[in-house]
Amino acid sequence: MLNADGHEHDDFFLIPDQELKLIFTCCHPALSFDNQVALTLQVICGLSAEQIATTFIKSKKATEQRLVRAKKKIKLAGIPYQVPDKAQLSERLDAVLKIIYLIFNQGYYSERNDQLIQERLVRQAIRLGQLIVDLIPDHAEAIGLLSLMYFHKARMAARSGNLFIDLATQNRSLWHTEEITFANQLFEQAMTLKSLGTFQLQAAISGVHTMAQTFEDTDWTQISLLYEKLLSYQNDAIVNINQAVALSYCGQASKALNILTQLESDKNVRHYLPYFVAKAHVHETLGQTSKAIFNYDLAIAQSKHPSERQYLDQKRCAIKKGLL
Amino acid sequence: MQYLLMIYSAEDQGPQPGSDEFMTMIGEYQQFTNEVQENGALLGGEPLESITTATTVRIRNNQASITDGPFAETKEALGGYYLLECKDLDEAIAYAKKIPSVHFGSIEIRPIMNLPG
Repeated sequence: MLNADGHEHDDFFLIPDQELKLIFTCCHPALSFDNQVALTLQVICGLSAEQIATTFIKSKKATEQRLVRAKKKIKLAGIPYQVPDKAQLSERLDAVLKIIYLIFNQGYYSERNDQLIQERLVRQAIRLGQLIVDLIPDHAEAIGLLSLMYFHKARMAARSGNLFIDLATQNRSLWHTEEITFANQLFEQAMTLKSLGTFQLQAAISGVHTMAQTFEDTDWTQISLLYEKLLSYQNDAIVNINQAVALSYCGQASKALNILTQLESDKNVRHYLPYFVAKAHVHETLGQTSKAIFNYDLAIAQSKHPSERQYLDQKRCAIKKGLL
Repeated sequence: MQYLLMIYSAEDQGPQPGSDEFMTMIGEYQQFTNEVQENGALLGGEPLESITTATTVRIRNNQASITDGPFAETKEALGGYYLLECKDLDEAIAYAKKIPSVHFGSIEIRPIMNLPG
């Protein structure tokens, strides 16, 4: 089946349970994580080596070699084409879900891709998430991931081509209400299985955001409680940063600043732009304007995208104006 | 398919010879060997003497060199192996998880090369 770009498949029509087996082959833990991602994108999502290379800023040749080596390992090491047995399923499925979410995020956040690839990555990630929920219906985290992806997708239009329109300034009337309803249904379905995990918690957080009619209506207390819970599963820099932002919105900016200050020694945040944006925001909330401006400057210096720089510069200028 | 399961561990790790724990481990190894044998998977398998007994041989430029010790000085050394017939890698991994040393050492699984003809 040829499509608009003329030379390859977009959507595959494999029999679903065969495709599921193929997903477990591509995401086998005996393959490195990068190889799992590349294989899944090629074999399951139908991306060309060139498109995969663009997505991950690698050369086309290196990506082709990676794919050849990975396929060779599957064949020579006897990596099976099957859904793992019950004893291994949960652990192996977790790895598959991680790959699906990575593919989704590559489509959702990456500015490197052209819009066509972005949309395809998002569509394929959701398709795979749905496939897993259809074939393994009692896995709470799989349903949680699908819910989370729908919550994100529902807000895609409101970003209007600009990745850096933050939640505060999004036009909420552009949110896709049907998708939000569907995401909520999935979330409730996941909760009935009583097996909480990181995807369900992130979906819950997205759910709380979408319930608010305006940014000011956001139930930040609820969100910070959910981040607190998420930290007990995944205590990494990103969750801590999000937790700090949530706390700053519910009157706990000093606590937020403590969290961010403690992260300073974490080498993962040294080049992580959202860290400096969060810090700037928290300082701003505490009325520490010069520190806020300093952190916006750091964030702007790290930014690689014009639209992002422009957005951050507006934030910085707004503080400066306030000083006059 | 045939797989070689190579058992690597540091000799000062895990139960030490002479201890009760060591005897327990020997029992567990016996149990594992019985299991793979009963399943028809066992093609071979032996423990190796300590690396202090290792000898390494090389010929370079027609000159043989014979040295005392393993070929590479690593903390974890090959201590034994099993050669198993398995349906696929998942089965080999499932067996590897049952080898007693897996709890303090590492099991490297390598498929046996299928020579044509």
